Amino acid sequence: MSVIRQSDPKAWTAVDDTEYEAYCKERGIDPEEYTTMELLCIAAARQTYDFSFIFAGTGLPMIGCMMAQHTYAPNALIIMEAGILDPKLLEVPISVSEARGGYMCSTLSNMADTFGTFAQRGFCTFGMLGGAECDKYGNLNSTAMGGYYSKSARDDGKTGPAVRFAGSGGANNIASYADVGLAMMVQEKRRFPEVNEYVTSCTGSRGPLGSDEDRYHKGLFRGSGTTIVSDLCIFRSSPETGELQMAEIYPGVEEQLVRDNVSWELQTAKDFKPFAAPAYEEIKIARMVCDPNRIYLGRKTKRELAAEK
Amino acid sequence: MAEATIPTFMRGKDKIMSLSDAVKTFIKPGTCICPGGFSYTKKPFALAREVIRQDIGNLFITMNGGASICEFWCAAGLVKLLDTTYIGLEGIQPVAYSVRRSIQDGTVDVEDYSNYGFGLRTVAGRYGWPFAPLMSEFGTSFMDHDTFGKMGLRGKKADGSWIHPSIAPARAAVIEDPFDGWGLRPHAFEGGDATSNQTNFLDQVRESTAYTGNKGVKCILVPPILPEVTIILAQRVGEKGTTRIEGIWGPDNEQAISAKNCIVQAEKIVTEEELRAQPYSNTIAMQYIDAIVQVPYGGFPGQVPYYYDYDWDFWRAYTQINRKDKAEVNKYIRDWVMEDEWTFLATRPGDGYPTITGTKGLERLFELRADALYGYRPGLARPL
Amino acid sequence: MERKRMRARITEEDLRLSERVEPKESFETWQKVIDAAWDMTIVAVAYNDMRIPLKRVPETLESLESTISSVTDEKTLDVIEEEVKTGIRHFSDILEGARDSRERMDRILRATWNRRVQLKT
Repeated sequence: MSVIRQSDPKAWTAVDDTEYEAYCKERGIDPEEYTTMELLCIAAARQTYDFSFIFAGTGLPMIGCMMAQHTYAPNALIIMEAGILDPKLLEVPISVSEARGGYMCSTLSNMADTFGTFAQRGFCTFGMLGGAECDKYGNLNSTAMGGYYSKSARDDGKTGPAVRFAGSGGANNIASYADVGLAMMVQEKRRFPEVNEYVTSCTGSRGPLGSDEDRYHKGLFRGSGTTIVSDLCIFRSSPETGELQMAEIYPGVEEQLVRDNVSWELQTAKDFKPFAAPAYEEIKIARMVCDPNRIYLGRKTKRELAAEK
Repeated sequence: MAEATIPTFMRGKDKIMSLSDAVKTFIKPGTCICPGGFSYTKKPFALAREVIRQDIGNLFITMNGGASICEFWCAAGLVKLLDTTYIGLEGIQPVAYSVRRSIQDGTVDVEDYSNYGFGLRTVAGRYGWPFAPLMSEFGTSFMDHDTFGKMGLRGKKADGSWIHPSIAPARAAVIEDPFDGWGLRPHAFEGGDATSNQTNFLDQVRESTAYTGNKGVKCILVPPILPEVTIILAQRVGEKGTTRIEGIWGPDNEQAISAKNCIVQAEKIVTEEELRAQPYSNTIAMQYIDAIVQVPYGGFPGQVPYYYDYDWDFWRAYTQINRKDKAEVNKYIRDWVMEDEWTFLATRPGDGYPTITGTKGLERLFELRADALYGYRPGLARPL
Repeated sequence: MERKRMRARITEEDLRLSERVEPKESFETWQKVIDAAWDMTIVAVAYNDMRIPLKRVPETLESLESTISSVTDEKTLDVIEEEVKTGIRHFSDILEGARDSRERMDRILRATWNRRVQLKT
């Protein structure tokens, strides 16, 4: 697949340095230091490519796709499942349906129509998702842990799942239809099991490539691997086996920490490389253009909170 | 032919009802109800609050598009069954806490679909189709989990009637595509297809024997949704029911048309003529609307595009409230809705949560007015 | 005469395509006529949608005006002022655009008249 990458920072959305410094001063944040959420947002944007159709799920992908549009993929078109194609995002939306997400979009319709007209029809090249749990083959669970069923459908006497998450929303469909997937996640060992107990979305190969368990042998006709952007590293599906491999590691993160936080024997990708630290320009755009209110960027991961203690 | 009676949907201006009458007439304990709107946008919150005021319980919610109304109803303990895709509050609370708690503690039973799976169900419902084809959900746990099936709610009773009129006899079915994947894109046009998508692994898919035991391209069929009542919010509704939704539709038109009855909560009721001057801008034809209630600002604390924005400060505080003890949340939500909608709108906005200006009631609501040229209120303060 | 001809049966003569003739007006001129006609139509179609609400606004404003004397809270007056100022902003834009266009239309009618006279002499 031919991929056009756009990384010339001259084409990025311009932000005045003085304004930025003043903003940081007012908020008491270091203009050159980044937080985990900022790193996730920038790392996700770096995975996108220009002239793609980015189908963005709710949550972190909202800011991930906005960041992509202002930097690496200025000509990418954003799709939001409630009915939005190619909006001009002036303020970060908190929902895939809200008016901030619909401003100046090409068409505004409804949910079934969006999935049909854009995803099923063939205009969903890059799927950007969030997830709660991710396994060895890039299957995401965003539904439940500790048994899926609710009380009346259970056999074990429990009242329901131990933890109930939001459910698929559009995640399953975006993962099914996109050429390449991306999920933004917080990495903990229990959230990266070898096999998910419940599979909400197959962003990767689903099972070993070429086996009866891979996505194609289960009936999915699209999709060629995934990228998982965690708060420690970047995983990518191996083109040979479909297994998630460590592809890039963030500055200051030990490889062992990554390995300790997955439940399978993690392989290193052939083209493994260190992840270049977020640049000043990137952090500036993330803060000033994408999320000046720090609705997403102001959030802290458990790891950050623990480090603060 | 027997003497004609006027069908309810042909009724003229008497579709216009008070909020309490509309809810009393169409929503009973156990009703299968489908709330429209999407997350914070165009949710018929006034109708939702009236259901809480009238304490109509045991509800069966079939829903797509965010859980904000479901969250309030679960907080008030009114929900029994949930047929849905997503129970989060998106950017404000990843999982709506009352809904989550109700599923975990056994008060609510839930069936899950993906958004497109559910969306196609609404399309099937809209067109009166027996099913719609879905090429997603393959390979996932959707394929082998069926809550309503395990609960014995699917299929027919001994007398041949459906066990539940709004629950399909099967969650989904898999067939072999009789057209061998011919219609799927990118297609093998001379010189390739002009879609943006590049990958098409149909050759491998054709080797698959999954789900049916036979080789070939498979297709999932999903049943329509057939709710008893859909509730939606629209900016303008004609006095006979012609409905115009401005801004994103979410799942509204399909869901409204799928239902047996539909109540529309209007920002303003206008003459039919006003909307029919430009009929192509109208969203739902008149006969699908059975009751019209006019509640300006009734979408508070959500957003109604071009009219008013969501109350960020409310939601920010609410996600703290809904994590309190279950009984406390229940009491809160019942106190919050007050005795009627007008008293609510004149009192509750800005009440019980910090805002920058500290204004309350209608003044607070007017602070949320949207810029008509944007659809929202640019620069609305959204502190975390 | 024309009416009578249209009532008659269509003859083979009628169905014959005519000999090629050069258009009397230039392509550029017709393009300008079409541009202006279409733009005025775009506005007219949009106007058709607001025709009824636009007529209603004076009525609702009038009833608002008559209510002002019974307002009891100064903050309500703030809200009214804010809403009306927003209204003034939008309605002034509409008015200004309409006035500009209207003046140009008058000028065009004068220009066509002058040109007609020139063509006759």
